[in-house]
Amino acid sequence: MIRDFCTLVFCLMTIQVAAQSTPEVSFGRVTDEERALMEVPGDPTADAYVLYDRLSLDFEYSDSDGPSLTERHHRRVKLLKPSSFDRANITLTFNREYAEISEVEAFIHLPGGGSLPVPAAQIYREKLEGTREAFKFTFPQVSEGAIVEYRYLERRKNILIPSSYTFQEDIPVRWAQYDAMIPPYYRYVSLTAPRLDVNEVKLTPRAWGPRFNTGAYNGGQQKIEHSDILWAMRDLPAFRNQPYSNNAGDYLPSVRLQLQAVQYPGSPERSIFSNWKETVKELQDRQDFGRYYRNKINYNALWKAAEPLIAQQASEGEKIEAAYAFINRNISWNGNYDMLASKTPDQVFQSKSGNSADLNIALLSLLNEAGVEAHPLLVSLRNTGAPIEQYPLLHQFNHLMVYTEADGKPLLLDTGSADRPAGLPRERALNHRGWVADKSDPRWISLDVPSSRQVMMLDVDVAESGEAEVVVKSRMLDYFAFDGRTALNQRKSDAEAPMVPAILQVMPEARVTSFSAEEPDDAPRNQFTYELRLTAPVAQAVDDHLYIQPILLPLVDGELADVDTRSFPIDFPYPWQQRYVANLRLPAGYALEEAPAPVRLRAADGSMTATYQVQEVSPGHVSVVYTVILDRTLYAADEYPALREMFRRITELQTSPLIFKKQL
Amino acid sequence: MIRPCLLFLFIWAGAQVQGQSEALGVLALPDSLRQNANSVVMAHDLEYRVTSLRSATILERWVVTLLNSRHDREDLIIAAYDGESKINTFEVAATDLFGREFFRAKKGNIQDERVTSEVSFLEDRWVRYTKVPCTAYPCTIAVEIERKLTDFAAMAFPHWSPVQRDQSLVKSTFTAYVPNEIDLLYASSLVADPQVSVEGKDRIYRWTLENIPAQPSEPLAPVATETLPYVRVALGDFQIENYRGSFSDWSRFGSFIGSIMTGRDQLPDQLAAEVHAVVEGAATDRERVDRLYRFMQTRCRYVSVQLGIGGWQPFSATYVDENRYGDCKALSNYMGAMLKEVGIASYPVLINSSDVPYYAIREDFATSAFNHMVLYVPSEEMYLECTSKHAPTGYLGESTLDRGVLWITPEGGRLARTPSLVPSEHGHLRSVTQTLDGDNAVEFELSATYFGGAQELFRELAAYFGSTQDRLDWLHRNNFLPDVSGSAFTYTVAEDAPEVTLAYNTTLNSRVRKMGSRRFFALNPHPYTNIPDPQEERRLPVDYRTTRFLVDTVRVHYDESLEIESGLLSEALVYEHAVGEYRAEMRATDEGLLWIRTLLLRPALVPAEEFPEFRQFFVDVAKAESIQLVFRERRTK
Repeated sequence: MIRDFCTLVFCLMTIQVAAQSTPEVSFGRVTDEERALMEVPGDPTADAYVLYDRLSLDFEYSDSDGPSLTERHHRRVKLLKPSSFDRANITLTFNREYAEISEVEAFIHLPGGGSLPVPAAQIYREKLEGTREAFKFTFPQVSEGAIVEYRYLERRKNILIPSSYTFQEDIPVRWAQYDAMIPPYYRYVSLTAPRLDVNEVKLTPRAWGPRFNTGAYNGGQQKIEHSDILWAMRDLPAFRNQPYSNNAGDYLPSVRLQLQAVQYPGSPERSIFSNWKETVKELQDRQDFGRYYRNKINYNALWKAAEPLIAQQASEGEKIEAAYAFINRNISWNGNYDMLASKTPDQVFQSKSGNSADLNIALLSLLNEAGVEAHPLLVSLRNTGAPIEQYPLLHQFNHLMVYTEADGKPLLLDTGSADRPAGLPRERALNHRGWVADKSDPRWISLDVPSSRQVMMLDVDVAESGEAEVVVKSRMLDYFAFDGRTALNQRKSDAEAPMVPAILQVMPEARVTSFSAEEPDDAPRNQFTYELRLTAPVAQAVDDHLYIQPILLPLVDGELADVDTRSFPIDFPYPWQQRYVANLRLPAGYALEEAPAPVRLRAADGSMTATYQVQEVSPGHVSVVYTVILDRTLYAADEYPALREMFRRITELQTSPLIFKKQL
Repeated sequence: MIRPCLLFLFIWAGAQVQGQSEALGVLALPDSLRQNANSVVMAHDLEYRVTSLRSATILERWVVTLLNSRHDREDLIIAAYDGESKINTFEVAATDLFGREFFRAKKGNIQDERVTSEVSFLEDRWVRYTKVPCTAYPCTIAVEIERKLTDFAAMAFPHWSPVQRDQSLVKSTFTAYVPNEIDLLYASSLVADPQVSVEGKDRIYRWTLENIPAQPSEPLAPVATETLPYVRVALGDFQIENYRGSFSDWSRFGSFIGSIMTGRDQLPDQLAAEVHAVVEGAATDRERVDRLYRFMQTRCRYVSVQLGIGGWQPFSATYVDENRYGDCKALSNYMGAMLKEVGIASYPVLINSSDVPYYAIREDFATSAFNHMVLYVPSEEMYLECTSKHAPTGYLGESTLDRGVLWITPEGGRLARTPSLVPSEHGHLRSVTQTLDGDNAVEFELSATYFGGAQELFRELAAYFGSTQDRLDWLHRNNFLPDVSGSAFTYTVAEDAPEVTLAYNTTLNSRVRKMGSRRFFALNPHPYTNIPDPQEERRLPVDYRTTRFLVDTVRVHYDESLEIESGLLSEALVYEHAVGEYRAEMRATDEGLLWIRTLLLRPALVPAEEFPEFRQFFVDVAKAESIQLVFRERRTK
């Protein structure tokens, strides 16, 4: 038996027993050294310092309720400056449907000596919305140099996914520890493998678990070998985020466990989420997932209302469009994301509102009933973690879309806005990869979207004063079209109309005279045609010269060029192309004297290009053609210097003037 | 059993009929009520029944038609409650253009949520809400909410503001039923006086409004309570727990606040001894105040806990001392207790802390339009902001200056006003030297002192960003610094004066554009370019509230091989308006040129018809700020 457990344990993870010294920490007692410390070694500007943080995972078994999971948290933080004092206000939230927090205890250790407990009467239990609750408390006598310390126990009925643990924080950490005592019946898989300072896994015998009838003596509880895990990191610097990052939290060392299989003595192993194929079966059998869109009892009324519009469509593509439009027109998104539905499609339709999964499962039900093959597509949103494909980890997903095909090509559907056409998921959903929960062929796919495009044609009539009448005609595709239409529909003032904020940024004195969109009823939703008229001081008149700023709408901003060194990849949501063509008409007698030489910039791998060209078409008529194309969305951190240089040079082009001289 | 059910059905049927008929009524709306409106209040009735000195019910029914998606989240129906108030009725239904009901709030789509304001840690406030899923317009929402209030909750009087900006109104009524022995006090704006009648033991006040066109939202407009119909009410007599009070004048309201604070300023013996030790040797009361204020700042921190009566009554000085934290009331009470210990009198002060108070209090109408407490020391004519750990002694932030406040004196409440905003006390002195070096590089040196209101942000920044890198990143992100890779960065927060100074040097490689023999260079690295949005037709006056005195000097040093072709000012540029004065001039120096600009901004109420001139002032300023110097190689004579 023991051998089997060992095998099981050794299958679990790579064992690296490296005996390391772990700090001796007793709750409520701090050392003189900790009390006297007034600066973080190596980071004198830090305002707080995690001296010790520990999460201990353990399991309990009751004959009536079966196994449950306990997590003991213990945290000790040194407050060094007043700016950190809000860290003494503690809120511990939990959902009472799944978990319970108890045994909350807290102490403050004063810099001048002595420690004070937070009285139990000042640890408040609050009801929040729904079934969420919180314990709240704050520490008395907080001052510079004080140490706040607290611990609590969290019990969870479900042992499937223990809490994740992150070693690094926004302030320096001296010691962070995750330990676990896992009974041999449970096989967990760990998602991340940080470079640990202590990585110790051994077998420790311990009494636990159900009383099995294992022999002549029934009902006895035996000692069994547990996986006794200790993972720890020490002396971690404060974590800093950077612009244009995605899933920055992934770069923090962390532990995330998920139960993979259960095997009780004498029973065959029961896999929980052994592979994606098994996972999809489980999901499809769930009421709030597969059954909602496959059992007509759940979407009868919805189908009845939508059928006349869908069934009359001739082609499959038109049916998809009709169903997509129906959901967008009749059900509004409540602003929440989820991978599971909260209600049946009929209930969602009746309430006219739902989370992202509610809306898209309702769409799936329509497509399913209309005979269109479509499947749920699960994603983790941007900045909530990169997709993990190796293991069937469901809790990584927090949004559900729809995967279907039109004309043999993948088509991603993500309802929630009538302004966003089929094929364009929410920008937040563009996290590179998604999982298609197709029962017969579950698979990961790339979330490819077409390159969004925008063409801007400007007619700029410049007067001798430098003031110009400007007409901008723009044709936008895909995300540019969505952004343009949204800006037009949701503007609170004319200054928020499409393109206007960008122009005002360059020329605050510009004055918009009119704007309008060409929106024929039959225009595809992924296109937006827009015209803007304005007056703007585009030129500076000096003696017999006019210095003209021809780029009124910058195509890139300077933010990417702002960071010196880059720790994380640069991650744009989607590829794009922008083309800017300005026809400048000068007052009679002016001719181009100087202009930047034609430029063609190209990244080494060709993923980004920029061209800029000025041409004197005829006396007093000059055209400027400026194009930027970004084909790739993900750049590694070590590619940053080259990318930054591209952005710098493009930014320079955008601000380069043209010089005209009056011919005498 | 049958009768209540029938009654229930009858009530619901009534509500439905009303919603439907109002929905259809939108089709007949005159243009005058459609113009500028994103929504129309078809009917709005507010009933306020005072049931005793310490209890009341508020019943509000309204039907609003949303004309488009630009309404002000009027599809979100919210009712607040807490431990002393209860929602009896919360009914919401919605109909489409044809009067067909498509939504009715039920258990599944009504939510209850605790709300804790941004500045609080613990509060006992809740909201019940539902969101009406309007996917097509017009969308008509009918609401009925009844709440029962007692004690402090009953002091949240139902002020009547039936119509908001971008909204028109067909009809609204406000009816107050008040027992004869209690006075209903009211102050109204843009509303006719109420009809008053007596019915049994109650006096009934009834205000009515009809056919109010929509007032468009406009930037920099006065607060809505000044431009839209508004009735503010209070009671001449009320009771909260065992405390009796009255809003009949400021003195009595102040006495009530004083009474609930009574007895909470007893200092523990040990603290009393420490207080005397702190002030020992101080020559003047001012020095004593200063030492004790610093003592409090070091000893205590702001934590807002608002539970039950704690929303009005401060924690005792003993509690604060044991825990070393408290909210604005508790810390003001604590500071006042310490001053009292050394014989210095002080008054707690009720104040509204905000950019612009939503209701400007007036002498003839006592009302609780406050959200904060500070302390006033009459002998020093000094206010103390007791929630700040880093303000200089006697410094009041911009969000509390120049407004009516209530001093809680031993004799009762006394109306006063905090010091006015004076431009010379709020602004910056900033100096930048830019040396052109080579083709593109510019050596950039900055030093700046921010003072008064302009330093508050920087003082907060110093308190909350301990790390230099965090400060640099923030200053760069907010355009105070051109990059983060420079040197000689210093950041000094004056302890005793509202001043923050900073300095920074760096080399910039993208400031100069070389074009043939010319170089283009934007002289001013920090142009003031805030231009109000243009408006063809301004309807509301401009309530301009900025108070600043901004002095910038820019030195440009350049090589003798260069000369300036254009961009030089031959004479000073001067612009003036009621809201400001602008002056910029240039002088030649041995190393190049010096540009000096002063910009003074001051509060003013500008009539709507003068909006073009108001805007033009800022256009002129923005133009003058965006000076581009064009250099060329010096021509030999």
